[in-house]
Amino acid sequence: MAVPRSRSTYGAVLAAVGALLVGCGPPDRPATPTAPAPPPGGGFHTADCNGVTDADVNKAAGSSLFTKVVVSDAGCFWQENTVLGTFGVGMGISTWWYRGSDMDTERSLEQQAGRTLTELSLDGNKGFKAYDANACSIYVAKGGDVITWSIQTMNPAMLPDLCTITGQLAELSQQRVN
Amino acid sequence: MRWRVKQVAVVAVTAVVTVAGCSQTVSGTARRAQFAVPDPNRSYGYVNDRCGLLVDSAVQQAIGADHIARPYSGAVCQYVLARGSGPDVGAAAPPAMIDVTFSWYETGSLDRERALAVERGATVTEKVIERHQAFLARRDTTGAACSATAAAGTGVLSWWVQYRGQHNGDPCKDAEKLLTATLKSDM
Repeated sequence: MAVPRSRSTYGAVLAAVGALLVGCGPPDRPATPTAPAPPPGGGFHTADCNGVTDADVNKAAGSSLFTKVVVSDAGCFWQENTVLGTFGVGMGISTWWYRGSDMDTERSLEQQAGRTLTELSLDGNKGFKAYDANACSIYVAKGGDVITWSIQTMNPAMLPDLCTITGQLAELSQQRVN
Repeated sequence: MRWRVKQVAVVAVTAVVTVAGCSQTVSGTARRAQFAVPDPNRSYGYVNDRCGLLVDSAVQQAIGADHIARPYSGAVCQYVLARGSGPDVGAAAPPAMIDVTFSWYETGSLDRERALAVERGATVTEKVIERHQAFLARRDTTGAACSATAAAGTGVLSWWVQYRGQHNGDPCKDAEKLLTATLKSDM
């Protein structure tokens, strides 16, 4: 960890330099040799909800039990319609796209959560699934990226096999963004 | 990563000597992060039940919500918050739902995040937040929504806030508040 005291010093120096450089016109090249943006070429293609539609979710889950309530640059979330007030919020199907992350970090978190882990391969990309009676998550990695598909429910008896649901969605997603 | 800081310092001194002769008063803050983030060694990963270094109660307080749930935790953390639910509200009044996600991409980059936000049609505003180069990206999808994203540590982190099903209000303010809280807890 860096020494906190030195941070403000560097910050002040750099701010001053920044001002001076702007005064003389923009520098032709960045002052540091490190490239600011690693090319996303090694990762997944971009699509809202990692390429999966409401119709895909309904098909995989068997019926209209879920409503899409989140569409963000990180991913999407379809909430289970059984939510009552704040009871059951968070139950549903989610997908997230980690643009520069280590899949092993998620692997150890799933292990700590006590889930059963199985290695898998989807569309040529390596991954794993982690499941218990009420949840099943699938992680697939490509380049420095990871895409996850998860279901979490308090009503597994109402649904098809949880890993079959996320497995189908992960497969569709890979076909579209891999 | 420590060596990078030293290298930047050397470059900085050289630059002062070279260009001091043509100085004029211009705001240079936007240039700063092009040199380095102030916390190159920092990780903002999920640890000790905290996402972006914040405990759930801090997130709840920043949003001003009565209820918080965190159904998903990891490099991405998902929260669902509710305002106005509870015994003092009529049973017929549904709570206002607020969705929040936190993302920590340890090998991600601000440029990639910005390009993606622009491609998806967000209105992007550049900012410097707590000495970190950052941007706000407003894009309404399933509600009024905005992300606040900063280059930090080894990668990039982002807070996204949505007023679910609503089309007014300023979620950028809340997103920036959360990002500031995360970056401040680093100081």
